[in-house]
Amino acid sequence: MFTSIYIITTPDIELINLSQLLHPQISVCCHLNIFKMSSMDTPSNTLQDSDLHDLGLSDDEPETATSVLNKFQTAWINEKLSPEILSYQGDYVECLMEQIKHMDNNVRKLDKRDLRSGLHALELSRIKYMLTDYLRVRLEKIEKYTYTILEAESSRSGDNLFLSEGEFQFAKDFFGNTQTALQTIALRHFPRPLASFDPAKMSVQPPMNSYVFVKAKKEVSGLIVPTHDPEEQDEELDLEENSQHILPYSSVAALVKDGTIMLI
Amino acid sequence: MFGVKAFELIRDLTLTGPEALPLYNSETVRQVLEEMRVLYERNQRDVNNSVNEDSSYLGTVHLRHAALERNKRCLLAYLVNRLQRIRDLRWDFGSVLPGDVAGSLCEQEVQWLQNYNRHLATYMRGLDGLDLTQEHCPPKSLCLEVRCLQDYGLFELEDGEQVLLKKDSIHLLPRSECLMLIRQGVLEHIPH
Repeated sequence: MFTSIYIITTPDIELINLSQLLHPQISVCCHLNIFKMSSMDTPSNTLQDSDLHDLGLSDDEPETATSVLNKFQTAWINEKLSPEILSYQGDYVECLMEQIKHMDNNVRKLDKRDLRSGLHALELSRIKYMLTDYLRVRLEKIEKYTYTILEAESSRSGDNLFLSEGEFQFAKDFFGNTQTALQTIALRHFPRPLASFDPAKMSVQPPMNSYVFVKAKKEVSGLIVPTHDPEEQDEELDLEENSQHILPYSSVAALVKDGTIMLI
Repeated sequence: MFGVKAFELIRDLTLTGPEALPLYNSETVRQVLEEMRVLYERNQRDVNNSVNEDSSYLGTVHLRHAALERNKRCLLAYLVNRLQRIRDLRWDFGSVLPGDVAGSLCEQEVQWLQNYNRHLATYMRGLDGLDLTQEHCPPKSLCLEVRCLQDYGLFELEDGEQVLLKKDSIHLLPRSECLMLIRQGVLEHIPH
């Protein structure tokens, strides 16, 4: 849905073409062509594999703004629907932020009476919304499950972190702040043996067993789904490609994270 | 009966609905803390007695301890839920809460909110000034038709144009610039 507008503008693409929209010095993965969908696409517009390797994007296909957007959209939907926090899509976020900034400038340069300027600006605000909402949903989860998330994060190693640096700092600050507030209002007035506060016992846990709607992007075989009845055996399930199911989140958590299935 | 006061706090929260923030009930909080102190002192006394091999007190001690735990749990739940609501209000109204809401916070909660604002600002600075508190719904159009609810005076748009916001006047403004004013109650969105 976000790409539709780029197709509309195809015939007159010179007016807002790549050279205007993309700053030549945009660094790293933002050096992508934004109108992959358009007829302007020539081999020279797509990045070479070797370039991508330098950029740290090891995908076989060259990354275009459209594909980044699509992938980010999936990540956003997953994040919005999953009960626990997923790993931070830092590359996509940075890339989109650069793109937005750049397109913002270009849209501003356009004649205001031009119909396309309005359409572009609206499309841009939609992408912006997607980005801010992604970050917002993550913050909400961090605030709600601060302790659980911080605990899990501290057990992860350098390359495998789920939070961005800013989010991690925010989580720590938020946790400390809330602790201090509880301490000063209530805990310090409690009789001494009760005055301790054990967040492990009292904090809210994400509802990992809540049911989610999922769609398999690839075929999955032998998925184990636990049953509620202790006497029955756990169910084993095969998911066909593109099939949709309602399953407890805990049974598919790993598959959501590696991108085999997505939440819907 | 034990735990009644603590339960009152929880009921306070549910009675006002999930969004509104009830007045901070300092009197009841004080009473709960007082009840806990008394319970604890009596328990302490009875435990000292039962050390001298008189175990008939044990049942009472257990009951009081359960009441203590319950009070603690209720009180903390009350406070944490309030913080959660204050946080929601902050996202709705911006960093300065309107007077009537701000009045129902206690001193430490005000302190908490200030810290929270600071931490949130730090986080958003790291995002190149992306303002996460704007745009809570997917944008449907670039401009919004709005009615002015009060005499606000001149309002300068991002591109330098100035608009005179007079009471009952109707304008078509870029959504990103009038969302804040709508939330502050200066403008009212006219849905189509």
